[in-house]
Amino acid sequence: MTKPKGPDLHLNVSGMCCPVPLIRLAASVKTMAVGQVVEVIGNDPLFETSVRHFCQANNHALLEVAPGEGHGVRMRIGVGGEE
Amino acid sequence: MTAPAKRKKGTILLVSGELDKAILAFEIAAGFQAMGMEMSMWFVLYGTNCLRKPRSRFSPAKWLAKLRGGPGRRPETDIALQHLVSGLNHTGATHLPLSQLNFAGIGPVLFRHILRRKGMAQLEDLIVFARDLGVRFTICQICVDAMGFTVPDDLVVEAEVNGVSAYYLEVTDADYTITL
Repeated sequence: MTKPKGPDLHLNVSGMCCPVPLIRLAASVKTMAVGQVVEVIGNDPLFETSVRHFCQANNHALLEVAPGEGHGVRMRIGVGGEE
Repeated sequence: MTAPAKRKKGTILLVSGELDKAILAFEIAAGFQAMGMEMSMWFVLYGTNCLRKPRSRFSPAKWLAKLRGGPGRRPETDIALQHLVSGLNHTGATHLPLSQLNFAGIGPVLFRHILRRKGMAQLEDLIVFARDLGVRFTICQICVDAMGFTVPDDLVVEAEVNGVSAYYLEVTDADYTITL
């Protein structure tokens, strides 16, 4: 098992409210290839739940969830394919 | 968990021309598109106002504008009363009233202030988000003709003009449909 590499893309959606974090994340994921990793930071109360649902609905892998600054949450997502 | 072979589809029919309902419609459209659903928005009657370019009721351009042609229009059947409708109608995402607590136009200002302070998206931002995510917009042909506006020129986004038969085909094929 190799050491996990750094994320291919950082996305900060702190201060944005539902559904904007989800929209930003979806727009970023659309531009990425399968297997790439995106790290997203947000502090919306619904942020963690909506990213979990997003991963569940689109077959992305939720690699890591860690507390960020303040109420924030840092989540790392492995982009999955629809096929 | 296996990926769905076909993308799910949804349609939203926006009838109301009120800010709160339009925000809701665009939040659902952009949110569902972000979640992977293929969304299509339909606009009839006052629902078209949020897609039109903002122009105040007091704008001379609005009262003196010549009703032009375009897709779905039949200018030869136009009557003068349509100028009154287009003059009195609020158009533009920034000029919509609220369905409750409108307070003769102060309500939307207060509502927008709350949204801004909370960092929530305004209607005009949500329209751009929805467009960029690939939500399709369709406007009812008879509304285009009756309210007398030109489709590519008077709108802030690209939209198609179509009728009830196309709406039927989309709705019967959709997994999710709402009317607001």
